[in-house]
Amino acid sequence: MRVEYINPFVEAAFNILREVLNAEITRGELYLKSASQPVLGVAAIVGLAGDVEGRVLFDMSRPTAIAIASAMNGEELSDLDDLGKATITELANMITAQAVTKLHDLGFKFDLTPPAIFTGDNMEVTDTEVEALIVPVNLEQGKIEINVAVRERA
Amino acid sequence: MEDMIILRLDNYFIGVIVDSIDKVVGISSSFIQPPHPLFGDINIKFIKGIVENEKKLYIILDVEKILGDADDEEDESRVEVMGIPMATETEDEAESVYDGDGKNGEIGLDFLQDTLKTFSRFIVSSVNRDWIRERYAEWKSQHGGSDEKAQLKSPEDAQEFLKDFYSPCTGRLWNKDYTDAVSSLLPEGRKGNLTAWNPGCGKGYETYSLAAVLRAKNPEAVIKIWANDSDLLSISTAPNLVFNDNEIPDYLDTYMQDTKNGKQLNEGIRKQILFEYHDVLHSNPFPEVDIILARDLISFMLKNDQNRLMNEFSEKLKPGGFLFLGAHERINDPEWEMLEASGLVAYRKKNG
Amino acid sequence: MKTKMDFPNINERKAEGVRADGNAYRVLVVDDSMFVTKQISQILTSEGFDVVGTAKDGQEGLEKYKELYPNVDLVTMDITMPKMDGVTSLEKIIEFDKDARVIMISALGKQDLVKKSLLLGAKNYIVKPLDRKKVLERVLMSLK
Repeated sequence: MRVEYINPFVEAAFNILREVLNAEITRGELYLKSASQPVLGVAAIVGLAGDVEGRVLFDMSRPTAIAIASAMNGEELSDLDDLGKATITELANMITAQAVTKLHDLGFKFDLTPPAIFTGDNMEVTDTEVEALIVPVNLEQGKIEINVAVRERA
Repeated sequence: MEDMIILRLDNYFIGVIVDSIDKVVGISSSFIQPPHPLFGDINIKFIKGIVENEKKLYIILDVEKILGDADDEEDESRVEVMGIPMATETEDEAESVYDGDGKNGEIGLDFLQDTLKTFSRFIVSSVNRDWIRERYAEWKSQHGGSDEKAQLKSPEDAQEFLKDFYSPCTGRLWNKDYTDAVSSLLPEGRKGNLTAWNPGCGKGYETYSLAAVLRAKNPEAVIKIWANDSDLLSISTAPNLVFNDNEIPDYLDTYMQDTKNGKQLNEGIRKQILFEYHDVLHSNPFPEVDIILARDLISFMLKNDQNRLMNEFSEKLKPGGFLFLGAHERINDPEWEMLEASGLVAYRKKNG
Repeated sequence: MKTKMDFPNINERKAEGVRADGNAYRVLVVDDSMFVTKQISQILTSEGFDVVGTAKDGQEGLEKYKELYPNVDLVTMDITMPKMDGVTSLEKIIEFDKDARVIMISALGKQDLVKKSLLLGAKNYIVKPLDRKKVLERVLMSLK
């Protein structure tokens, strides 16, 4: 992944999560992953287009998703219902959008596609031939893995 | 209730019931040493290392080898590098194109291989064996003349051993002599696209040097260089690398511009380069290129990976394209023609 | 001390969503996210605004506006929505009612789309994440 793209995603994740959850968050070591990747239980995906193509995947366990959605709504959700899903989707959207805005300021023209959310057990995302940058983020509610795979358009 | 140890190997949890657990000793992994030549007679493949703790010597067994699958390092040593299988361990190296690196039957060298791998992640294979052999002979004579005394005992020892392996101008901008040697082998006067791939570029010193040389020789070409490294810290500094005046060889002055933190290569040069955080063992998204600059890269990869990477190089290089390996890395394959200039060796992919 | 009546509240603050004449400002919330719609509605109703309608895309937003007209004082419009996006919807609402007050809600800041919206007649914009103070401030500014 192009070096200049890394910080915007890391910073956007930090800024947005800190603001919406009003709490301190820590980050794990960044690393690169290849081949198909198991999903922790809930995956929100935002597509990237423009000068590049790719996607950002927000990966977390179901309990973590419920806890985050509860915190963001200021009320305890007992399950990941429509409101909970809309909340996680919106979170993914905000983080990606802020990253895209920062990239815009750096001269890289990215666009977002509307986000989608997937839930289930034993899910796997297979993008063969794509290397992804993993930004692990640790919150009180659990861990989120932000998985960014983006390439220059050929 | 039995005494049981629970082990985690990759995705497996294995419970091992033992007769008794005497005690559990905590040690720092940095104190673990590779098996000593002393154990030469014992089946060393099951010994992971040894450690001294409170005047006792503990032997650490390699649980993965004992309990794990066949897909382990023992097989690794029999892997052919560059596609030519190894018939027997005593096969004459001169005949084979590339050969796998099984045990040499020379115990000192065998242990050296293990220690270099442990301490420096350097993998001895046909790509660098010639240099290693010579170096070991020299090292041995400097260290008391015996295999035992010559063994590397620490990462610092290994570093000292490998000190002269690295290519000239590692970690800095290329000096005039080196640049001239490289330059004499590179294409010149090109007008269309001229592309290069620079895996393992580190902080980018060699990338910038290559970019300047290519521009000097091909003023009208459209140059594009993909430079990558899997060390995040190094590659992150590459796009904005700055230099002090005394780090810049004279001939590069014309390509520099001032910034508040020092000098850096000018916009024209910098926009030719795309620095990426990328693991060269993951899928390769790069198009076909005219030049590959991979100095001292494959010697730090497991043999299976060395093989894979060399195949990638072969696939990604256009016919007639140039491959620059490390100063002491050698390949010997009918697909590649060896070139030489002022002591520098490079390879050219044969046409057709 | 017990009492049977409410104590007079000396520090009573006027709810910002209520006009001088005592009527609440009427707001139409257009957003495809259930979460954002809920957030905006909660912020506004807590200050006395009256959320008179919600819509999930630009098309529905336009239709609801026409239906409710002239009883809408302000529209909050998300930019990215399926079927008809916020900018197109804004354009059509202004075409229908040149005095319409629309404030854009966006996850993207300083984007061409936000600029375009302002040129087309949007009164203001707010970048997500939504912050109560910021929302109320911008909404009130747009109503002046």
